[in-house]
Amino acid sequence: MKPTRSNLSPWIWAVYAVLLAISIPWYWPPEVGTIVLGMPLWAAVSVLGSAAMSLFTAWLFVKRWPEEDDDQA
Amino acid sequence: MNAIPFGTGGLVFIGLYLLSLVWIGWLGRQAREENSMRDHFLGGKGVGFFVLLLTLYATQYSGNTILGFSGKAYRSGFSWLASVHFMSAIVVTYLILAPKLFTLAKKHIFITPTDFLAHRFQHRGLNLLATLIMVAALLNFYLAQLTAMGRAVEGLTTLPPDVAFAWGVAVLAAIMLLYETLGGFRAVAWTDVIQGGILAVGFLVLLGLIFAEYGSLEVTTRKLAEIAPAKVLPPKAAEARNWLSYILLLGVGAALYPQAIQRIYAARSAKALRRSMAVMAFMPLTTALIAVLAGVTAAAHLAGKLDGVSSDGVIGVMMRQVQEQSAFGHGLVVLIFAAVLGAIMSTADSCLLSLSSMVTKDLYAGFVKPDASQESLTSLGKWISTIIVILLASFAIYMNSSGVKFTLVELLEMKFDMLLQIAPAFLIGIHWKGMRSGPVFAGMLIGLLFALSFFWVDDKSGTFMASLKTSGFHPGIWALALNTVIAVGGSLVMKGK
Repeated sequence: MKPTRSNLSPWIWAVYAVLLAISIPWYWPPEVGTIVLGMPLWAAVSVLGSAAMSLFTAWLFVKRWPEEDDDQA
Repeated sequence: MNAIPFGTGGLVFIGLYLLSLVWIGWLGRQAREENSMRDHFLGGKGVGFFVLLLTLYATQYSGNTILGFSGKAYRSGFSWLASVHFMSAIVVTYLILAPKLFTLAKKHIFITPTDFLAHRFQHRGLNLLATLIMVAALLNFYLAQLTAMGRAVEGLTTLPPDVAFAWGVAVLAAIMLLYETLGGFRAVAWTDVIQGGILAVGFLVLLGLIFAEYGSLEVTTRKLAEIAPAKVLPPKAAEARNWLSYILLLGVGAALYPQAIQRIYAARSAKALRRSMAVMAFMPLTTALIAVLAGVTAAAHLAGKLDGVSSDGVIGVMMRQVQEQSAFGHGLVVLIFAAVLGAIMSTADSCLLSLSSMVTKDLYAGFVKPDASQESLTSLGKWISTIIVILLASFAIYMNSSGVKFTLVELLEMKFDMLLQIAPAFLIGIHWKGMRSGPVFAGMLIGLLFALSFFWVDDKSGTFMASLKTSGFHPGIWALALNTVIAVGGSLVMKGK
């Protein structure tokens, strides 16, 4: 059986890149802004981005773990 | 120890908790199947989901997470939310590494991380260099944990801080050494169940106590915006680059901690490992995030009230305030103190066992006496643990009393610049057949020297190196880029010949 590489597909890394781009607060104006969840908005967005990343990672571990693998390394 | 303002009940609880660790060490010794290195360093056939999850959790979340992260958030404010992301990135790195490494480890009976490199590259120079990098990084990490032990006690006692620090380090290091010497990996993993359990509960209690004592997070944020607005504002461009750098540096570096790699080896089944990793993906939100919120709360409500305690001791100072309010809070503070001890000791014991396995197997058996028996190597491993504890505990106490006070985050960063240089060998080497040992060795050595050379670069010298150093990216990241180009480029060139 051909070994799976499904947990390393390019689309997975594209999703991580998008989540990271949203989570890292590089695009906010230098002001405190609205307070959401007790935090400045930029911090709340960052925390929610991290939560999304956790969900995605857990899903990958549960559903995309390669069952078959060879000993090529 | 009587000076700890816990009262008899609190002291008895902490005492029983510490004694239970020694008892588990003894149980680990009783469960020993054979006097071999695999049994001592990896617990024989390995551990199932529940123990694996808690040992991964307790090992990964350390004194740095509670004390160092809250201290850093006290100093920098919300921008230290970067820590939540880099702790998540560690689990993401395991997506690349864990499935294949687990399969290989079971098939070829790996004990140390260098066993994988030896199997994959068959290059003695590479084995030696990688082992030395990991040993140096772990010695640094272990020193950070010993320092954290001292800090944990320092903030909670009425003794002079230096005296409390020395007692904290000496007593806790001795207990840890005792149970680890008795039961090896089993003792470490089983005590992690207690330590990880108390740690998880402790974090939640900490969050509740902070809100109860200092008001809602919104109150804190508004107060902080008034007294120190920089701690509430979003990071500037250079700081945002620094976030990305931290995510790469720690996300990849901490995934390559030898004790973390050895936990992949120690999983009893792929299913146990997969499920444990899935749960670990959520842990940054229940740990690092709470530590940051604690630090931010302290920044708003305790600014200028630390009375000589370093910023890494802010949790201790906050808990003392809570403790003075009510008997209920008093009991919960004892629980949090136990959680802090658990976090530190569970990371330190894993670190110590890993160190001793690498010095024994990779250095002594690998280069000095390849024909040594399993029994003599296991026994040597215990002696090595003892020597490391004595030397580094003394060093931590000396460093503290001599006034050289590194903060925990500084200690944390120093080792990652080195450790990151083993990443191409593991993360690329495990998937790409074409990777050759010579270029990997050259890349690792040059990357290491390049990373270390930044130490002597003056930030303001205006040179190319100074511009890299002040770019917002850690030196280890630049060194990793150079290392990867050499390792991959060199392999491609050799393949073409």
